[in-house]
Amino acid sequence: MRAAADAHVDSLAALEQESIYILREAFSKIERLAMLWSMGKDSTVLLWLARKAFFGHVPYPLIHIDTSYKIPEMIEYCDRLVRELGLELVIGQNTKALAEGMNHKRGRLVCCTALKTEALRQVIEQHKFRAIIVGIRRDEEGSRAKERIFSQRSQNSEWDVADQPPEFWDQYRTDFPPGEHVRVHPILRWTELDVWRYIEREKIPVMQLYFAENGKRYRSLGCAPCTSPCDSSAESVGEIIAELSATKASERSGRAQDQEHSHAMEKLRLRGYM
Amino acid sequence: MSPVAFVVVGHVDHGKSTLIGRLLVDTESLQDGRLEKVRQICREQRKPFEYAFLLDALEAEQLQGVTIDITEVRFRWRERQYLIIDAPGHKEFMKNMLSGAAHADAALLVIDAGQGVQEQSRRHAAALRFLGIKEIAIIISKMDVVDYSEEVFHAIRVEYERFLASIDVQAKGFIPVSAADGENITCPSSQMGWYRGPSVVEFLESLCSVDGVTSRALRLPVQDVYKFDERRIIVCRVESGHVSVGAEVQVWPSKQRAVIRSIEHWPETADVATCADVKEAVGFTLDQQLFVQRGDVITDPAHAPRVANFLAASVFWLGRAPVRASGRYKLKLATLERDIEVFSIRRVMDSGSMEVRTGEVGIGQNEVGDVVLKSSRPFVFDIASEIPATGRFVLLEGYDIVGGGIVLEAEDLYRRSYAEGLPKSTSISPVHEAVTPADRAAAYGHRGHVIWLTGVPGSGKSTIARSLERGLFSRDIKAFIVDGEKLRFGLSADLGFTELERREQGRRAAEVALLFAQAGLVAIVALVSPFNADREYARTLIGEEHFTLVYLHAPLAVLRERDPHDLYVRAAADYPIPVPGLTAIYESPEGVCLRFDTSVESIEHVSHAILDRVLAIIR
Repeated sequence: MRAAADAHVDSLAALEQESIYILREAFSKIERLAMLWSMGKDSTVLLWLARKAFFGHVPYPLIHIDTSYKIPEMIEYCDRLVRELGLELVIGQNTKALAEGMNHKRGRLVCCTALKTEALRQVIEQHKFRAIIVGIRRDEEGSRAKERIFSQRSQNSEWDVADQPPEFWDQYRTDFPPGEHVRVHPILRWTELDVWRYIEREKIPVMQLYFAENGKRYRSLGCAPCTSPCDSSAESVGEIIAELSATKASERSGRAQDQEHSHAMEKLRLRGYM
Repeated sequence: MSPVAFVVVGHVDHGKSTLIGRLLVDTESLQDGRLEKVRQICREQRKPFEYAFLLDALEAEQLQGVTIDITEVRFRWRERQYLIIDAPGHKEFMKNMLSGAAHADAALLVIDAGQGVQEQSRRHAAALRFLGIKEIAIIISKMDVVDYSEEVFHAIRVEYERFLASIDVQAKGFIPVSAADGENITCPSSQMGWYRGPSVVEFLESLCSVDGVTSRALRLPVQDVYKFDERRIIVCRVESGHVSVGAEVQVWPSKQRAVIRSIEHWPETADVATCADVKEAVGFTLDQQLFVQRGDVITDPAHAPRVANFLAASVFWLGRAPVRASGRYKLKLATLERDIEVFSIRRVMDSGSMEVRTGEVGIGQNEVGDVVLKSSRPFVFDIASEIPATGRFVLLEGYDIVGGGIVLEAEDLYRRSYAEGLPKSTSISPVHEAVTPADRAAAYGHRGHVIWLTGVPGSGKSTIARSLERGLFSRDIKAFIVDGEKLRFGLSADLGFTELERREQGRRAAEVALLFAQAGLVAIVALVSPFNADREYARTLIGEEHFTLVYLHAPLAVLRERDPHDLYVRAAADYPIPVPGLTAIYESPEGVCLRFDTSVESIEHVSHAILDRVLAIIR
């Protein structure tokens, strides 16, 4: 029987290698590829994995969906990384909805759909992307748990959850009809704790917002009006891991859009939300 | 160690999701909001609390009360991580069940105590067997509904065990539970004193995490070749074996060899801790600029994969339209893709009713059938029971995966290239003999073998063959000469001496020699066999380990002097039969085991040298 510490090392190595395999599979099989980048911990790990998969290179553009309501530190972090790493960044924004004054007070599902789902749909259409790499995980939320690694979307970005194609023996759906696109989920099988353990193992820099200040820290990042910090004293990655190992609170408990309706995320995601 | 992954399967409504919900609650694995959220949903729908809703997150699933798609959840129990895969039990969702179960180490198959064994109870067991999952426990659920009756439990157990035996599956245990009352989930039941076996959690604790890489043979299916900078990096996942710098490797199907020059990493300073049980996605460079592309397979030279235009396989069919003979699909095996045609269908089993049909023309949805597939470009593959990752594939129709397949052993098919045409009979399928090569070797005291003597006319093939036959026979070894001339009186009476006919003569000699070798004899082939391609065909067909190629030669002056059939005299007189090596091509042989100049070395010396080598192999 191996020690518990070793067990984590092996488990992380297996997850990392699988994610690299998936990223390479998408790159090999699909022409117009892009990666959604929200600057959060999951996207940051995903970017790191891409650089591992492609030996320091990021051979496709990153997409940032700019709702104009993101926490300001997130935008600063984004600009700095793009500059430092020489990344190709595509910005998606539903300018029409913003001009008409869209905000969360009109209903969080309405706002998310307009500023995130619709903005993403526009970017995909404009750039004719055929695959979008997204850093979602099964342990985040019930409808994400149902996802495939390669998950097809109709022309209108809709997700037919009741009739998903089979996916086994690492054979992914890499061919699909014109007009449709596919969402690629390389870290689908990771947990929140895996993400933090990996950040610790690889010493990946993450945003300061994740660390406690005055007894509060962000566990999940999003738009300022709909994201609230949780009580925490964790000031380092190690302390976050210790905190998460003990907690039973849900990761997205600080995300207001999830709480709006019993099946809020499912409803958002059927229409193309990430 | 990765979490132990187990899938929960069984007939629709037999209580799979409820069992998992209860497991999560009793092991205190739920996140804070989760239980409250389900309570809220149940209140909204005016229903009593449903454990199943903890898993069936989709609105449609909760309204209809059935699981539609797979869900994965984790729990921790006594310092160990478990990954539960909840699979739907409805017949329509078999494809989802397979998607979930394919990466499980173990399975819990749930049967409702009140309803007993149903169609999907059987179908799912057949699917688990197909996927190669051996750690299976049968959970008899809803025991509270039958008043915890031992008789009911035993009746189901007897019936289901008989069924499992018929498909060659052995369950690790039968566990009676009540998820509603929490009986036999985490701790022994107070209601079922008659049951002495483990609870569900105790069964899970007894499992070991099953890890993939077991074979020593190196298998690197090429995923891509990168040229982002000056390096030309080949990326593969190590499906089996181990990669190291300086190792010689071979690329298939081209058979080119090279040495691994470097293994590449980012960041370059990365501390590379390779774990024995993790399939690593590697990138490396070779010492030579070989043409390598996605779909090729890189191996160590000692463990060649199979390369053939045919695949014999067992196929699990998911498509709505049945598989037909001569139907066309796309096959994906590791990173290789081929357009294929169904060459023949031999045997079909309906896993729900367990009805077996032969001589069928189609395999219907959710049925399992044995098929032979063919492709105009060769497949590179392994037998699934030897190296699973390169021995299984999926079939696509249009954009959709419509079936999964595992490759069966069928050497008769794999060793022939069929360059000159396919078998005309499509009802043939691989035959398994009652007496094995090992049985024969034990009875005869030696294995079968083929000694292939090649050389131009007059080089001494027939003379050496007779000497070898006598030498083997006197050592109690069963031997027989396959002589080119003798074939031309009978089996090859229809053949002349054109290039094409000489090649066909070579093919027939190889097939006859193979039959003798399979019968346990040492076949001595004495045949000019002027072309390398034909000698290679024989080597592949018969198998490297059973094949000794001997090249006999002598100076032209000596050949003219011997001239056993007056060929050289006649050639000089413009006789129309071309003489290989003189008026027709004789390709100097490659891959020769032994070579002799028969003008210098005696018959006795040559036969002894050949016998020494062959005796060491066959005894």
